[in-house]
Amino acid sequence: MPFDALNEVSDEALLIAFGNGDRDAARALTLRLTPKVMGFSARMLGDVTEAEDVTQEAMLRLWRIAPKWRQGEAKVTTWLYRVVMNLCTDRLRRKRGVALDAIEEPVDETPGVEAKMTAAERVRALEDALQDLPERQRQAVILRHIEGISNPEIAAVMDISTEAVESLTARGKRALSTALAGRREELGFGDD
Amino acid sequence: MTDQKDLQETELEALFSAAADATPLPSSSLLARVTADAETEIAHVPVARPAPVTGIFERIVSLIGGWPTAAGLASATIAGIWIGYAVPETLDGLAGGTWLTGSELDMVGFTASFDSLLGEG
Repeated sequence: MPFDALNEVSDEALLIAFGNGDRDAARALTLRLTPKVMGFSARMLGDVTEAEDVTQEAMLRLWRIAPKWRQGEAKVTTWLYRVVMNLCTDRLRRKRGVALDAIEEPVDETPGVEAKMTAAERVRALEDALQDLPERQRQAVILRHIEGISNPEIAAVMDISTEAVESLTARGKRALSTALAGRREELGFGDD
Repeated sequence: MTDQKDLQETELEALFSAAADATPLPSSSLLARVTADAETEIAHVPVARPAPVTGIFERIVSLIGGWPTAAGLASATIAGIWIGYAVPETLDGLAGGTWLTGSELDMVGFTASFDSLLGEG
């Protein structure tokens, strides 16, 4: 089958095809899912190298579950996000023993009003603020507002109710708004 | 106080959007590692054997109960043919050499006489 023809095939169909030994399905899934896994784990961990390790481990688990995948039971992405979330949680717990100073980036001097951030720096400011959120709030906010996943799917990933997801994202956003308030000038939002 | 004002919803959304656009992409080495893992795992997948091609002969065999039945049927057929063509000497012996060794049979002795039927009475 031409590789392009797989673009329209669902994740689940590709996973089942891979479970039956289809190499093209493996390639399509790798290109489709690895960026999602990488993005989520990088934001959760704040460390690209660790995120790559988590991504490889999560994808390996996906390959291994393929022959046993039960059709219609769960969305592939839901299953995968949950695996990534658990792997990140394990790593964050192990990291808690490390002194914060050892993993934090050097803090910039307070910039003046004229020192506007570049787009990359604004993203970095948001990611720094995300790292300071409680873990569950961080998970919910990243999945909802950056990965763009629906509340019911996040509920399935996190194994909580949709209402609990809404509560976590609302509290997370409030905390982010407050944490970034002192940097609104740098962020280019003015102080109206 | 103004510099401590929390970010508005729209301002926060702008940051989320910028973050989504700046999603870190997997490196080529990571993609290679993931692909290599898939290759390793695919080697453990049992090869699906193609379904055997069933022709008319296989269907007939399955209809009569499979190969054991077909073998029994073939044996019985061959035995029947052999009995039909071979000279059954033991049967000749049992018959006292009267029926099967070329001695003439007096068919007249076995048939009813029509004479009695033709007579009046």
